[in-house]
Amino acid sequence: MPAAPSPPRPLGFGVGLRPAHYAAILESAPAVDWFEVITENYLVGGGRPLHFLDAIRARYPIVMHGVSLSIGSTAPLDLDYIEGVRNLAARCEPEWVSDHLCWTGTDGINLHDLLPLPYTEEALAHVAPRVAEVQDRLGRRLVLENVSSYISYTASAMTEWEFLAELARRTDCRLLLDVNNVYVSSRNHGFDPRAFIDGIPTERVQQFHLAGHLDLGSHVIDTHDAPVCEAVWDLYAHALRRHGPVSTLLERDDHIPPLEELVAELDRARATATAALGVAA
Amino acid sequence: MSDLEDLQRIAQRHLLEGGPLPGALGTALSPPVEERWGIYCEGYVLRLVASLATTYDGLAARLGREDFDRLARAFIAGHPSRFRSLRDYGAELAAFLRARANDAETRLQADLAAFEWHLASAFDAADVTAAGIGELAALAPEAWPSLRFRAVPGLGRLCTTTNAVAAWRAARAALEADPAAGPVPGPPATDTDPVEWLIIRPALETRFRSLPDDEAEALDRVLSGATFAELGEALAARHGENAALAAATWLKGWLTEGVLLRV
Repeated sequence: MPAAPSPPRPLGFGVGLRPAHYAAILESAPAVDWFEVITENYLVGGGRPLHFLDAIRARYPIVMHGVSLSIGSTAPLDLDYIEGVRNLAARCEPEWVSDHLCWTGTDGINLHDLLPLPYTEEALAHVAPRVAEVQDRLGRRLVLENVSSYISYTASAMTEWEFLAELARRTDCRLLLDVNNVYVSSRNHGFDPRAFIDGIPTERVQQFHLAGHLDLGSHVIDTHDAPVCEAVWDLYAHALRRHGPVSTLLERDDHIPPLEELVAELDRARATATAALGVAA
Repeated sequence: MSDLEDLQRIAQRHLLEGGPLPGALGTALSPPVEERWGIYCEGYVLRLVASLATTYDGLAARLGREDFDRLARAFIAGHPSRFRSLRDYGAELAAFLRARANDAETRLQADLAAFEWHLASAFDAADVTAAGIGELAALAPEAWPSLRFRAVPGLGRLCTTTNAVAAWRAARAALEADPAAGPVPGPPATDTDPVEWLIIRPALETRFRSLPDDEAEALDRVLSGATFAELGEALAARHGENAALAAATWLKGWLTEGVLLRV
């Protein structure tokens, strides 16, 4: 197996594009290097969503991030959905297209939950050809994200990071390393989050995610409704030292603050990267 | 059936219907697996409730958080999502409400849900260039009788029998002052004579207006594929020799509003 080509040049530091910020982005041209859009929010015919996507895309690089590919489902791939993703990518020319290593439903139902897979050879053998087919249909590499999880399966025979690394090796896909999700899952399952970060091959890492969560003491819930916590900043610094400068995205899906607050939090990501890498990322 | 397929079917059934916990789930840690799996079960419902509250924000404001949450959960229990995007979820809420309606308030809620679904459908419908007066003015007179049209994407037609649109206006005004507003009492629910509505989104802003009964009937004929000549014939019974003038007047209005596409 030849070595994977290097990921593209890092985009810098971005935030998730949310409708509440459309006007502020266009009026104030904030110091954000790129925006990540939720793919499904723009799989529509027209109107304001596509109008603002086009306007913001004209000013900033865009990455498409999906939540409904359900790459791990045993239901057949939804070819209409994939065609819609391909058409949207043709319209907004994203730097890359990502989704999650998970399943979101079966038998025609979408649970809108990012459910983890059992980390087994059976699951790998099921998912790998689906990733390959999606990549063929999209005409580009897929970038897959590790999910936060609360349950594990008795059948799992490898770690999540071993599964991700092997899936990337078999399919030549890239990985979106969600540092917050690593932290959340490490707390919920009792593993060392640095072992996860270190277990992912650097040449596969295309992007980092940062987000906030709800810490209930005995377990942690991935809520994306709060600033990034200190433990995740520390883990992010470790991920930077391990994998180098990687495009970093700050997510906020609930309790969305004014854009300037997110830009200020993004500055902390920049400062963390500068400190961790010894140079401006 | 593979182990993975079996696992996913069992887990999904439990998430939707409850029952015995999937045996494939495990943890030696606290909290116990039942509580952990419950995070997914509740997350599923909360996402759908939030989606419905976004689509039906006027209804949610009128009901207030607790009553809307109760309504949404009852609806969700019988309506799993079959959509990739949450934006598409909840079309059946008006019918769900109508089947349970037993007084003016609940009939208003059903009308309000139908109205808001049409607004949501228009909001992100495909962008098109509607047929305009200039385009038709250039046609030879002999081409007019055979003209056919269809609706622009997202065009909504509905009939209300309550003051639901007044309630929607009150809810919107309250939400613009305070996005967390609710419950918003608004006007008391009353049954009304049927009112026909047209909803379109000619550019980025959604618009709606009531339609006189005869205009509504004429528009529905055109949207069903009637030619201009057939429309004139249908109108003759009511409008006599003024039928052609009435048809031309309405057509001019629809073309100005951006309601129609040429077939």
